[in-house]
Amino acid sequence: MKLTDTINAYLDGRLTADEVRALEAELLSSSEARARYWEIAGTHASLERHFHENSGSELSDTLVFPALDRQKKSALWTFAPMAAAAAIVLGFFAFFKPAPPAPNLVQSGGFIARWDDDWRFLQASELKLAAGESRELVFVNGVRVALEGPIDGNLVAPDLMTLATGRIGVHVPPGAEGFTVDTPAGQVVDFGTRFGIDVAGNKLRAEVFEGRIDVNVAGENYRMEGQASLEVVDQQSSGIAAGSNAQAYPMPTAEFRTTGFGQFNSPGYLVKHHPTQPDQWAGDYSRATAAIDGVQPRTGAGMLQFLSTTQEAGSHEKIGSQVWRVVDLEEIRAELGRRAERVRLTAWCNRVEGTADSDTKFMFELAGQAGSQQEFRWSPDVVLRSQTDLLTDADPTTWEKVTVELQIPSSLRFLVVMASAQENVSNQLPAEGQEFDGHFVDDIELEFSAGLRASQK
Amino acid sequence: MADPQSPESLKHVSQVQGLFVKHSSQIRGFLISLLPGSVEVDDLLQETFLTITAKAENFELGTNFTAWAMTIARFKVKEHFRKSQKSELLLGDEVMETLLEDAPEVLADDTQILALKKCLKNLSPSVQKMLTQRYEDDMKPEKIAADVGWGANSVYVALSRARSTLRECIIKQTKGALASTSLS
Repeated sequence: MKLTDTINAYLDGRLTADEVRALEAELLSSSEARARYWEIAGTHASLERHFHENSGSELSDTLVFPALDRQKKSALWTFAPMAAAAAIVLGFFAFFKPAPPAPNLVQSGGFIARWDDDWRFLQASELKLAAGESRELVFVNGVRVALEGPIDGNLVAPDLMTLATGRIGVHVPPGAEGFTVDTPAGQVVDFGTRFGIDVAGNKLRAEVFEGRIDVNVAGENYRMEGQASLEVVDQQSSGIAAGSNAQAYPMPTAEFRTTGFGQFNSPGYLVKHHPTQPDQWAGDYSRATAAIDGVQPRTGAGMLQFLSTTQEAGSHEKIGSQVWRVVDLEEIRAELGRRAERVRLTAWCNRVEGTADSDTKFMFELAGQAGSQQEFRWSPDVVLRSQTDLLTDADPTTWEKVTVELQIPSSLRFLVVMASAQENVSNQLPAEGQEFDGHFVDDIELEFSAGLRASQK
Repeated sequence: MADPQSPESLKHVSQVQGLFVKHSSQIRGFLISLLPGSVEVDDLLQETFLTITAKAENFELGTNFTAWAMTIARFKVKEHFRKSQKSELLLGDEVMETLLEDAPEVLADDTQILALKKCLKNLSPSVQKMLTQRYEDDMKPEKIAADVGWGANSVYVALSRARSTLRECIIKQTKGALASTSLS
């Protein structure tokens, strides 16, 4: 067999022990054989990665998670007490301490999930919370479950839990559809949405706030879309009612990160005035540029270069060259499914080596201005702000990172993001009309978040 | 040294763990390339995850996570081969050590995946389906053979040829990408 075929056969698991020994001898004696091995293994690894990521979301659960088929799911509640009795011997306080897998439910391995802000490898476990306690479970496929005690249930798989008692709020993002909650009164299957469930004994109340869920009660399927609610008592339901109340359920944390907020990949000068509308970079004399003066964009094709402290070249009265971009927080609310409570800006700064007179300082600000509840209007009156600055080194090959955070009040509609270079060393006008020797910012991104919220019931 | 229980440290650890989760398929692909068909791949992935969690403070966000994670995964494979009894159908620890010394820094990186996506389009629909069954559905070639009505050996040959074609195409594509980068 040719070496390529032998390596392929090994990676397909179809070599005999003798053939593996022969391959070992060849790999030990020849660096070319080893190079060939990695070449072929690289193709296998690429195929593994591509098809697994292709099979679901980028954070695919099929890689590390045991998959459950729907038939097993539908029979779950019947098995659950038996499985719990056989497998769960843990005390109340041992949250998610691995228990032996329940027969017929989890075949092998475990799965990664975040509990109490720690990512952990979990296996099927009992799930209990006392009254007054609340916790959040986050799976790598993005499913977030807010749990509010008293809770009595079982975590079975990344897409399956049982709930005998308790109130939960669930967010299932696109790509992770199929998250299922099995209760004594019925089975709730998500199709990409936000919903809440309240279970107590033989009573089940399910409410969908966005998207669609199916509730299966005694063999009858109730499809709930948009905003709707359903009550089940003793496996009987009077039907789906319009409307739902998200406030009555705990709400999981939510995060949204911008992509390409401040990439500056299209060359050109920025609009020279205060921004008049959201989603537009504008400000003092500055431009998006490709690599220049020995400075390469940190990522992508471009970066922002600060040129002057006013909107036209030539002036040297002020000491800061500022650019702004406005964010409509209503758009962020749509992404998060709720109001953003916190925002964190990250950005990267760089400059040319310059001389002893070269300025070194950058400044960033997240702010709210007065007024502007419906449409954005620039106002000089800042009602809240969070600011930070950074002194850059003289090495144009390295980028320095800066972060700044702001707690967002519920009354704020528009967030104003500011980036600037500061004349902290010399406020002199160079002959070319450019006040900064070569000062750049790249990869400005925002991360919005909202914390775990208790029900308002 | 920063307090490991401070909010900043905990957040950093959480971010590093999030990166692991994001890149887990790439790390798993690397492990599978050394232990094909082994049930121990997931155990090693878990051990890699735990070590990455323990050493998270050594990782600087914004630097090359996959290269760092692969270094840890390589160490875990070495450790595993030294300590455990292996199937005789897997390579032994001596050759594994030697192979790992020659291992590329990163396997199946984004450039290769991008090239692979383009190259897959050049394959016939039936071969694409076979690759999907093999890699996405985790079907054994024998089962694929039964499904398509071929002999198992024919499926092995078809998969092997498809991978060779893809390998050559990926090399061509990635060299092309490098050339166009250097020209711009």
